[in-house]
This record gives sequence, structure tokens and C-alpha cells, in this order.
Amino acid sequence: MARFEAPGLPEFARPVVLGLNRAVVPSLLGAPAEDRHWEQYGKTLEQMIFKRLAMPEVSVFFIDGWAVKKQAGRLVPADIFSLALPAVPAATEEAIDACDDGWDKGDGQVRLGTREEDVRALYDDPKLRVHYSFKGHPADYAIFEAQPGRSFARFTFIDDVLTEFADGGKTPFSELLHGR
Amino acid sequence: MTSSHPAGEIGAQALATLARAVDAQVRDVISKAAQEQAPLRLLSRAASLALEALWRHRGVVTVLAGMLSLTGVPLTLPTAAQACALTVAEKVHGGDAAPCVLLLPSRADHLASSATHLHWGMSAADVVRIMGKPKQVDTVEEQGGTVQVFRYRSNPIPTTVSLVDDALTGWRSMWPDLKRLGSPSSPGRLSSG
Repeated sequence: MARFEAPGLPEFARPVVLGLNRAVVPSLLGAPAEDRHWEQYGKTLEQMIFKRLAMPEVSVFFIDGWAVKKQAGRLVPADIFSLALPAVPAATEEAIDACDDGWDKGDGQVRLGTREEDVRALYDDPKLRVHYSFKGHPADYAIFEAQPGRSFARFTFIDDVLTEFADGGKTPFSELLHGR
Repeated sequence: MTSSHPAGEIGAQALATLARAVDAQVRDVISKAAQEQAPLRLLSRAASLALEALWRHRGVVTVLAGMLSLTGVPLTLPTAAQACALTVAEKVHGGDAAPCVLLLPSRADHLASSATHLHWGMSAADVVRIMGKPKQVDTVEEQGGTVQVFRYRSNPIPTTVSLVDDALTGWRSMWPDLKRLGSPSSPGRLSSG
């Protein structure tokens, strides 16, 4: 997953999480002391600056209205529009070489950087798929049924590559939907 | 520019003033970067600070440019600084003066990482073999088994790996959304209001 929080943030900024809509944030942190806007590269960048007595200032950044970063201070990261993603995994043979007993466990082929179509080929269509956008790049949160009737897994894809994976184990699908 | 030319002397003084203002902030940030062992991140901040300082001292820069033009010496400020100086006319939102901001173009970079060799079900030993010794290991005994969380600070990107009963069950890479390699080829130039 893309990095959202920077170290050194005061506690009051904790409720703001990646992907929040800009309209929600003032209800969590109060009205910003400053609200700055820029238009660049076809996107809108917004910086809300929050202040608390005797605490460092906190900046929450939004691109096209969605929270993408929070950090202490008010400097605007020069490359806030940029995004680093895992490279598509090397050939299967290399992966096998890297791990001599890996492919006899589980499904094995789910790795960081795997393309969404390859995950679909393994597990069919997802049981739940939430499409959104991260920094202008297409993103999906999906729950796949890894073993029919037995287990589910959660995946996050950004720009069509896998960036986050969590085995849901035997947790019922209904509970996974509630983020348990 | 020669020191005997009046315009050159004034220009040199203006340049020295500007350099001091920028250097003090950049030096401070780089020093902090060294302490925090995050030089790339902090160096980018240093660049931002330098640009902000240039913006705050834009009057000095203008005088300097005028002096240099009188002496016939062309002004060769870095591209980024020139872009910064142009932002006033390009404000999207009016209002109070705000720092000039340099923004790199939007792009997605795909980085090679040993973490791409991890896969579902892998043992802890294999994770360590591929990723190296984790910076931090948290172990929790739960009803469903033993949960281990390995935290890596680099490789080359911070990654968290979860295992249950010695089998990999999840990972999350804290992919930096700020890539700070190289210099901007076509920086955006913005001013906020």
C-alpha cells in the first residue's frame, strides 16, 4: 500500500486515514488553520493545515478530493503526485530458485506486483470489488475466494499490480466485509 | 560581472544575501536528514526549502537580475527557480501570498524489490532468506496460532510481512509515494492562494 503516514505525527492526526474524502476531515480534526489549493497536471492538490496548541502543525494532502498523505509541518512534497509500485515479479523460475520449498505451499503464485488478471485467473472473479482512484491511478480493493467454501483473501491493486495482500483465513465472508 | 562595476557589486551583495538565506535552511535540513538516516526524503525537503527561500527573497532575485542585465551578464538561475518566479501570474486561486511550490509530474514508477519474491504460504525461514533479517519482529500467541509480524525498513522499500504458524499470510509494502531519484525534468510551477 502506498505510504500515507510520516513519522513524528501528533496524536490528534491519527483519525485521518488514506482515502478519506476531503469533506470528512474537518469533522474529524476541526476546521483547518489554512486550506491551500493548486491545479497541476490535470489534478487538484489541496493542503489542509491543522494546528493544536503546543503541538506540531499537521498537513493533510488531498488529490482530487481524496486524502493521499499526512505529515508534520507545512512543506509540500515535490513529488506528491508520483507513485512507486512494485515491479511485476520476475520469471517463475527465479522465484522458485529464491525459495526452494515455496511452491508446494498454498497457491504460491500470489506475489507483490502480480497483475490483477493473473489473480483472477487463479481465483475467478472477486466476491467483492471496490474500485477507486489513488493519485489519479486506478485502484481496486478486492476479496477473492481462495479456497471454495473455506477461505477468502483480501487484495489491493494499484495501477493493475498487487500492492497488498492479506489471507482472511477461515473468517466468514460476512465478517471480512466488516473489515474483521 | 566584475567587482569594480557598481551594478556588479550590488548584484554580488544581493546574491550573497540570497545564498545565506537559502544555505542556512538547507544546511539545517540536511543535518536533520543525517540524524534521521533519511537523506533522500530530507534532501527533497531541503530543495523545497531552498525554493521557498528563493520565493521569499524574490525581490532580491529581481534586483539581482536587473543588476546583472546592466552588466550584460545573462541570468542563469536554475530552471526550477525560474519556474518558481513565474508562478505569480499563474495563480489558480487568488488571495494571500503563499509559498511557491515545485511539483514533479504525475507518474508511477515500478521498483524492483526482493519483496516480490515473497508468496503466500512461505515459511519464516524463507522470508528471512529472501528479505534478510527483519528490523523488528512482533510475536503474538493467539487462539488460532502464533502470529509473527516482520518489519523491514528497506529492501528497498519498507515492508511488513505477517505469518501465522510459520506460513506467510500477508504483506504490506509501504511504498513511498514520493520518489526522489534524479532531478525534475519538467517541474510544475504553482502558487497557492
